[in-house]
Amino acid sequence: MKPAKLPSPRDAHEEISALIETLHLTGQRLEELTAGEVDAVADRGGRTFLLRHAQEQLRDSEAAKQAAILNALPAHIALLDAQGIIISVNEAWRKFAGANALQGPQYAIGVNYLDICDRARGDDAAAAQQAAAGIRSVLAGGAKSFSLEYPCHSPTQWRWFLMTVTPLAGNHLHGVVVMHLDITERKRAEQKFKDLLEAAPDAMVIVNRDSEMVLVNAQAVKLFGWHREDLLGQKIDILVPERFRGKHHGNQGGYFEKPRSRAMGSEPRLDLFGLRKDGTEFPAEISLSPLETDEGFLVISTIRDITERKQAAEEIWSLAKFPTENPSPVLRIGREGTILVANQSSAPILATWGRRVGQKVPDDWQKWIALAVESGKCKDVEIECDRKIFSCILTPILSEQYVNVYGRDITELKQAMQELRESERRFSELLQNVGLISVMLDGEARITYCNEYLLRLTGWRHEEVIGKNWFELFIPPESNDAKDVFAAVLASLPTAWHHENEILTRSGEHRLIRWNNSVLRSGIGDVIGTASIGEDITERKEAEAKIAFLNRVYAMLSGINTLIVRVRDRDELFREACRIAVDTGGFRMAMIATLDQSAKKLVAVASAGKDEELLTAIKTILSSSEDAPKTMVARAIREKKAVVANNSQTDPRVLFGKKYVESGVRSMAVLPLMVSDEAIGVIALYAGETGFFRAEEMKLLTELAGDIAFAVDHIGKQERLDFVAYYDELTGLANRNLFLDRVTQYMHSAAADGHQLAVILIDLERFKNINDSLGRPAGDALLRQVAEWLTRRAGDANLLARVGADHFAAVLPEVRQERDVARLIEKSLEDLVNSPFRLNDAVFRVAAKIGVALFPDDGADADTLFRNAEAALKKAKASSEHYLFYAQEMTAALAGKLTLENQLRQALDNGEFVLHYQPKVNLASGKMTSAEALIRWNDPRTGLVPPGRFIPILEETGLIFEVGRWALRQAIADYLRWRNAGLAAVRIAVNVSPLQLRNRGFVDEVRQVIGIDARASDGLELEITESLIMEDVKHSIASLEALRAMGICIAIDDFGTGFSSLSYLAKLPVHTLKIDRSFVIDMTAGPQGLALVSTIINLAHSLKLKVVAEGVETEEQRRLLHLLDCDEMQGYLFSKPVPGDTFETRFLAPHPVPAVS
Amino acid sequence: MSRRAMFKFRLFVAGDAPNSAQAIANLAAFCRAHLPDRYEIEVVDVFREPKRALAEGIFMTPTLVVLTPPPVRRIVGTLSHTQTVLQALGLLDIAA
Repeated sequence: MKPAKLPSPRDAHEEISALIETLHLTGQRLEELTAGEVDAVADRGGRTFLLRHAQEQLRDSEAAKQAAILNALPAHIALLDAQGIIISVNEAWRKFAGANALQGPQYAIGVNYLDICDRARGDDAAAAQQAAAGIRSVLAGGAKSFSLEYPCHSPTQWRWFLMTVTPLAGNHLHGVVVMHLDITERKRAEQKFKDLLEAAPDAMVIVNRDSEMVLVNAQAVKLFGWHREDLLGQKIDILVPERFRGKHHGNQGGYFEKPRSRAMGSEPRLDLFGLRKDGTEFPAEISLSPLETDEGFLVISTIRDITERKQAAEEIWSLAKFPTENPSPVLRIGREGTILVANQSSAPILATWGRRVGQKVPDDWQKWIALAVESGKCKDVEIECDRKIFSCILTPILSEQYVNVYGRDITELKQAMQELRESERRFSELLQNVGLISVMLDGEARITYCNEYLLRLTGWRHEEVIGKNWFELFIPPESNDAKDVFAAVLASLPTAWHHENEILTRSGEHRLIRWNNSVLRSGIGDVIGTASIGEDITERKEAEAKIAFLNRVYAMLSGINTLIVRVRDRDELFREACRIAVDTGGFRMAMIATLDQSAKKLVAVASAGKDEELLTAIKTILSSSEDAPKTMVARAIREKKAVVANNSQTDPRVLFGKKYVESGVRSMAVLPLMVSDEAIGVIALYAGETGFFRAEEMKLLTELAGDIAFAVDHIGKQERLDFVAYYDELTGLANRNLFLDRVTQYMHSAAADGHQLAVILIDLERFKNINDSLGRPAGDALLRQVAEWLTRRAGDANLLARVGADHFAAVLPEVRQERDVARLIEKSLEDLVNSPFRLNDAVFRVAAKIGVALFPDDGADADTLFRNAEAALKKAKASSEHYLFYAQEMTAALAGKLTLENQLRQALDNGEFVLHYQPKVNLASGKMTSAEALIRWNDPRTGLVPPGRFIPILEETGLIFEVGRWALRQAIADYLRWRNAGLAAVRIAVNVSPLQLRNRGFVDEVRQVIGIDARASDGLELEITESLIMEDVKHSIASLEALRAMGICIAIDDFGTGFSSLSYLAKLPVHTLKIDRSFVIDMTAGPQGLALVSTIINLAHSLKLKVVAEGVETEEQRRLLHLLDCDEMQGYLFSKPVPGDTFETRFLAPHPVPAVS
Repeated sequence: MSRRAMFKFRLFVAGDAPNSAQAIANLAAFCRAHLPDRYEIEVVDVFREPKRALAEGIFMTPTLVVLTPPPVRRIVGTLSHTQTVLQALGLLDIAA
């Protein structure tokens, strides 16, 4: 690269300005282009240039960081320049600088800190001047750094500061950093340590690594006799005697290598000595402990003067050496009995003997001395002198031919023994009287000792007990382990030291005893028997057991109550309750039995516990009609209260007590489960303990039984609710929902198996009449009987349902041929009619109509199938058929129904309906008295349509209102026309449909129709079917009264088909009674039919009613009716219904000509 | 492009400079929100490793280089506009 030619200064200046301008603009442009989102750019050489704003920001943040760090420090920090002027301070300085010593009004930036320090006065002046000097020396480069600790106590606070001065920057000295750090806490800790040291009872010296004393306490000053100032900073050597110093140095070096605490007396040494200021030495014991401090490693040395202790030890030592000073007598006696030596302490013995040294001991002593010498064995002799007793050991020293006598003062020992004997006597007395059994047995378990308490407890006399075998007399035969324990005691096994067992009293009562056993040994250590102390814990155990029992019952109660809240199923409730009784309640076994109401038998429905055999036995006895009533279970049910046998082994009420005992059952309780004051069952609990069921337990258990019964009741109600949702409550058969569910199920298998299925709907004929005349309870009773009959017939109630008031349904899940279904239905219908049902002591026969739909032809789902069966039933009801299948043609017929409905509307509009009239004839006179108007439809396409085809449609569609109104008007119009024409017009009877009569506006409508002419009412009679009137008697009576008041005659149609109540018949405001054609037909069939018609006629006459017989077709019938005094007749015999004009010419003409068409 | 493709980013920054710091923060937040568990970020400081910037032809920082999935793309700036980034990464249809 060639250096560019240097431009002239002026040009250069301009060029530089231009370049700067360009650079500035470029920079700005770059910022704009990058939307300020770029920090750096690089040139082609890879050099990176930080853009200006990034540079500034980085700089700012760096400075901010440093300031933040400084501000975060707790120390008060200031930067001074070379002259000592404050150029920067941190937050802490700003806030708290006033707290340190070097305060002044001007401590902020720009102030000369050295001047402030120099000017300081008062308490802090010394520290301030020291500080100024330190700062100057660092500034001058004389010191690398400077630090100073100074106190700065305010009136309320004791405070210390550490000031440090460090140079700022490295090469050139620009200034210093001054920092004041609050070290009060540290100082406080140091002071506390010093206080502790001063308060210590021992002398303490703290030494540094250089063996210089840095601290000594007051005790040390006192012990060594130096002034404190003389010791501080001195080597420890001045406290160590010169002869030990070398060794001491070695020890000290070793200690600093491996410092550890050495406690006082842990390594007792007698060769440690301390050196006092006055040059005297004292024996010392020294402990050492290391101390790590800011000022380095120190050793705390604790020194104790043990001069006195040492002296005491030496006294003992000397006593041992010199028998003369021995406090015990020591004598030496020659073999012939001469006293050779006697120490001071032997004086009392010599006095007792009345001898001195050199004289012979008394005779008996001479004898013992000789014996000892001869045998060479020691002999022990006691001698009482004055108030002291000495035990003397005669020790023959055979080689010297004399005997040393060592006496020992045993006065106190003797006294102690005396006291011990006394205490033993007292103890033995205590044993006699305390509430504890004390008994001793020999190795054969014969009683060698017993105290009064055992006798009192058991009722035996002393002489009856001593020498007897313990086990034979006191241990119940069934306790097998007692002898094992005895053997274990004899064998000194620790396991046998304590045990519990029962003992028998004289009267056979059991007492539970807790024993403390020990083995008795002879003087030579042979086992000779046992000694036992026993505590009667019968009552305590009972109390404990009681609590344990109650706890078990409580736990069980809690468990079962939790269960009751959760459980929704009766079987689960029983099962779980039994399980909890056994698992939680700790019962051997639990059982719940319920009373089967229909069979009056108890059935065990749930149980828990291990013993299957016992349970089987219980079940067997419950199912036995002979034994069951004797059981406690049966008694609990009968008496409605709990039965308890607290000892099932002996209780005579427990039928097989022995079996219970074999199963570990000792007591039992049977509690009745009461629902609405009835015992519906029992819970029986079998405990493994005798006497488990006491008042408290029974109270809780009764509560428990109540809770279970409550749950049973609750579940029962819940089940009933479920039942109502799926069952017909009256008959107990399925309801429609459940039936459809079941049909769906059967349809699945039918589809899978490829066979047919039939849904049969059964309608009870004239059931409504039974309900109306005999009341609902009777109706309900009949329905129940029919349901039972159907169930018997079907063999399975699940195939049946009650789907409406008098509708039953049945499903035949498997149909091979339709013929089979038809045969079944025919047979069933025949049987049904021949089955008498009894209601209120009367016999009823029920007939039915049936509709059948077949799967899969008549519907692919249960709903459709059911609806189609309904359609078939409806058709059957409208026809004379007793049963009908839903067939394809029928579907077509239904489809045509809509068309028919339209045609009927048109017929009404087009006047296609006509009235035909059928005369009623007086039986006596043979003259026509009135006529019945009958609606006919003259279909222009097909001709006259029979009423059975269109009347039901009119009823269904409500057209009957309009058609009925038309018929009424037409009849009146015809009547008036005939009458106005001067013809012998007769009263016209118009049939009233059930829908019309139920309509509240009917009476007004009639009133309106007859209102057109005053004579209209004379010509009108209304025929109303018997069953129709009975459907709503009250309303009927009111309507009929109103009609009669208008002068209209009223006839009861089809009399005998309903179940009219005679009492109502009398009240009905009717004029005429029309006997149904079926009676007329039956009349000639036998005497019964005749009697019936006769009764009806007589009844009607007694009620002042006119009687008309319908459907009279034969002369025979006419003759009989006449004979029976029937008023009128109507029927083919006289005339079938004829069109109005025919009626007019044939019957109303002045000379009517009877004609048979 | 598979939904589960791994995104590898290399972000060139200029030390602690503000736009760079923001770009790092934005990229991290973006990845957590839109590419959870399928991203890797490498941050290159052009002051520490100027040769890498030169080798990859990075002339402005911050610059984000999308290494995978291909093609390699670059986005200069603080990555503050999420929509822009989504678009550049071809993620807009998925995220929408």
